[in-house]
Amino acid sequence: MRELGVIELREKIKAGEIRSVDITQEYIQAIKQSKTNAIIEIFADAIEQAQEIDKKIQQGYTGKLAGVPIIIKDNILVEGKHASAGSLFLKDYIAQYTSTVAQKLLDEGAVILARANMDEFAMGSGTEHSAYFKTYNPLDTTRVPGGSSGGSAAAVIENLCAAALGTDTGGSIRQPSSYCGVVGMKPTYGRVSRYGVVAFASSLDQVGPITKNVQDNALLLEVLSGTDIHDETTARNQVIDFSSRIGKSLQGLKVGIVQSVDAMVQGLDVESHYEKMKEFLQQHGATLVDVQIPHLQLVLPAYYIIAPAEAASNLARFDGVKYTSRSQSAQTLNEIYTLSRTEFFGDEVKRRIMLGNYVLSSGYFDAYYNKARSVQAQLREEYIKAFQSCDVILMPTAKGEAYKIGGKANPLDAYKEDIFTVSANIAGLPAISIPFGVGNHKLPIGMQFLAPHFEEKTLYQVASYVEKHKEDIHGV
Amino acid sequence: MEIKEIQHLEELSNLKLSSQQRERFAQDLDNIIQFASQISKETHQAQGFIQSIHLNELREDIVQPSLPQEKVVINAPDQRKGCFAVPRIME
Amino acid sequence: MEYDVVIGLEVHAELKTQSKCFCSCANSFGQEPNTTCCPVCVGLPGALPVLNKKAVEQTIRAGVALGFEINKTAIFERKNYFYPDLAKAYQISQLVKPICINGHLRVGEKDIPINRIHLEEDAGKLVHGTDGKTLIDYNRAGVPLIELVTDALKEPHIETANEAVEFLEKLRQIYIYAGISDCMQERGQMRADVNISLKPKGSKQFGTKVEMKNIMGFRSVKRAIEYEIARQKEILEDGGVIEQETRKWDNEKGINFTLRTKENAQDYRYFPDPDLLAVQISEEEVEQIKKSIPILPSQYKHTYMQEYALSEYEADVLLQFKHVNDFFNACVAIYPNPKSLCNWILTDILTKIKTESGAGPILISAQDFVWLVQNVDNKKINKINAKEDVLEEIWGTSKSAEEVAKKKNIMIDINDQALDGIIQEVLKVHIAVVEQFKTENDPKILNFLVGQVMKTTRGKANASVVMEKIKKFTQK
Repeated sequence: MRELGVIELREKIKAGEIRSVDITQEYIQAIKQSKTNAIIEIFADAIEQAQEIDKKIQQGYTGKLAGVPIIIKDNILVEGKHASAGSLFLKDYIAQYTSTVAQKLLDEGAVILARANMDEFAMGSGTEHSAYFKTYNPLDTTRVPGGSSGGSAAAVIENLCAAALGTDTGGSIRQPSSYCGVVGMKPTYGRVSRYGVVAFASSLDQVGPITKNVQDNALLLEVLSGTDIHDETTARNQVIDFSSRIGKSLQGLKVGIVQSVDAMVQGLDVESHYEKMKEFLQQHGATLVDVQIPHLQLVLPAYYIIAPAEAASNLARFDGVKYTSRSQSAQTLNEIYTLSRTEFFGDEVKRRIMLGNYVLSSGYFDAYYNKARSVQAQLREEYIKAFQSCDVILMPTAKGEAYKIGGKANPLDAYKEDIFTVSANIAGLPAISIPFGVGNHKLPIGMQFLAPHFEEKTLYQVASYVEKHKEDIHGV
Repeated sequence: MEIKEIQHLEELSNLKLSSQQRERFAQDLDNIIQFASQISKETHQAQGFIQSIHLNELREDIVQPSLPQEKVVINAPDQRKGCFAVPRIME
Repeated sequence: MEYDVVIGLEVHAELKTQSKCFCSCANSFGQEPNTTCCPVCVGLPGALPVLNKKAVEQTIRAGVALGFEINKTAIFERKNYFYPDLAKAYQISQLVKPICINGHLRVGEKDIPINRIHLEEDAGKLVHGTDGKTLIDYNRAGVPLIELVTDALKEPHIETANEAVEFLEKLRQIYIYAGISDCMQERGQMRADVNISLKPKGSKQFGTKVEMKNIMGFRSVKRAIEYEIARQKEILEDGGVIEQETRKWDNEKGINFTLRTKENAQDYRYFPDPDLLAVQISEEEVEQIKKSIPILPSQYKHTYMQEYALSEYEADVLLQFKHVNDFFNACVAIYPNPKSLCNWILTDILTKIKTESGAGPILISAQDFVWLVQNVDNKKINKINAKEDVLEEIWGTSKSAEEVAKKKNIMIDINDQALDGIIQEVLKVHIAVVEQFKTENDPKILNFLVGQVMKTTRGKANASVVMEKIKKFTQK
């Protein structure tokens, strides 16, 4: 039963074939036996939640996620439960309120089962920067599961839950989904509320679903989406329709191919899959269209200016005064600040905070931050223009298969891994990663599609089609 | 990056690096900043703040319940009399 | 050497709103610590600010009342620094695009240029205990605050302590009259920072600026400015150099001392707050607010002097307290005799309500008060009776003036014949005095006789009528 997806499981529970409490128990057992370190904590009340829902289901309750156990990333708050964002700073933090996304899951009858490991404050691409432990890729434990939502993606492929939530600031849902062979969606900025989600870079962060199949993903996004009075940046008057094109053919679909991406892909492990995907799309009735996104060349520098700048400010509230750990050796206020932050932030977080403060500091602000904002504006315009001639744009999600644990020791090398994912965040676009065969080490390779703002339903159309027909292709 | 500059960033960030760490960070940050400096190729001027692609309807001025006091301070490393506490500050 | 003094003011005022600037907690004073707080106020992880519409309206109102231009797009920025009263370690404020730009306020014969009014959030409160602890209360955190900054680079300048105080007093009146802020200084609702520089008389070049922060109360502002001018003069005259610095005013000792020097100047790393959207302000909205602005003190003053023929002094005293002025206008509306009402209010009402720090409430209805004034004016009640028997009796109660006057039988209702009889009686009793009056025609004696009659009638006669009658009778 553990391998079932959200919709299958919900239907079985609804039909009385299995109770929520039974499957919850199964997952808990599996988590306890797992050696991949995907999970930081199983919530103590998971069984209780499941029992409650079972009772309600018996009385005719039909929530969209009724009885389905879901795992959340460790940066999503649920009142009364620990949430630590993978950091020692929040090791003992108990959330005083519930995030909008968690509330939406609960409102549809989901069981919030556990919290998944992540890179500290979502900074990293291998879940190696968690303050607690590294998570191993369930498909090859010598390799990373990706990051920062590595725990979530690993939990999904390892069948420790029906689905999981991740957050994506520069690829943190899509890249681990690619590495673990699952479906990951980064929604349009403003689609999903960020209220109650520990912020990394506020103008880029989005919560999204990581699932075993495309249909589940669309359903979860439907639950998560919507205007939130607690988050000004959620879009008003959203049309929430993600499934209406699922099952439709690719006939007449125009797929944008960015020429500079073609060039970047050359020689990478992902190249053959990328080319195969192009073939596949054409064979199934789609047309490839060349598009230009010149500012893609500057998107990584822009990302590594904007994200650290916002992070430096967002993480300043962790100061040892209000709710975080406080250094035992601190005697004065200044020591509380400095010693606590020095003791409880990991190196990667420190690096990015310092980088952020560098680009914001007087004398450098115009040269870095304002330039990056300008790149962002240009990039967004270029994408909008490109989408006048195509429905979706194809890119790889990552350069190849999951890399070896410890394989990206140099920070800058690690940052450069994000080349294909960050542009969706910088431009605010929705983007999905779907499994598309395996690479040389028999590990999954993901392909990514981007769509215009609020056009997630086209992504689900393409993704579900590929999901259904990819066996047709040799080697995939 | 000069040590003095790293120290300034430590101050802004309220962090204190060991001298060994400082050297390593100087190297890392140098590399990253050099990489980020490609941004200077951008010739356009930032057109203000572009995040909003939708007009906002602002919140009406209506009071909603606050958190109970004990919940506000529940995670505080030091608290007394319903307040967060720090060592006395000289102003 | 003689010097030109240039004084710049930064004035903070807490806005009158129901809820806070960026969350729905109550904007109220004097509550138990940390009881008007939510995740936003305490800067909990994942909390997001949501802008209060009314706070923006109030800021526009202040701008309109002071003749500012209103920016069509305003932006909120983060001002980053660590201090325990600042939960997020940044203050949401405005730097590049504030809501109001370029206004002015008339002080004496000068139109003092004002650079801006921007909207920001107030910080929490620190209580420095005797037990070695500083306690933090975030109730005030997030209260909407407007900061007005004069434009000391443009002429005319504020040049004296008295002008600065007049500026502040006028500003305070406008804020109160337009319902923008209650400006209660004892509650810290209005706070001023002052900066002062001196330059040789007539010189175009500005001198070095010294800033003094958070001076409470206008009297302290005056002393602080006078002190600082004298301090700088002394240094300059001794051939010294003024250091650019921030000094703190110690009101008890009447001196100031260095708080921060230029070298320690903070780098606030302002950048646009990604959690908040740019505020769009339409011309219609500004027009609507313009129309909603009540009559301001300067307009009242004009009416009082030109139409009501009150003196400048009288107008100023009436306008000093808004509730007194409101009361006056309510009375004038019922009984259009402003001169008489003003006399009564200035003497009889103000003496009752004035306190050390301001004025208490007026505990009589406009109807009752007008009834009294009108009856005295119409010679139906004696002024002394009106005051002592009625005003004192009904003050702070729900009794009606008319009922009390009738019950105490003080209405002037003795008919002519009866009055003649009473006068004749009195003249008989005081026959010797009457004879003396007939020969000496001394007004003092006449007054004595009038007094005797009034005493006999218990004040129910009209003294001037009585006087005429006595004159007539004694001439026979």
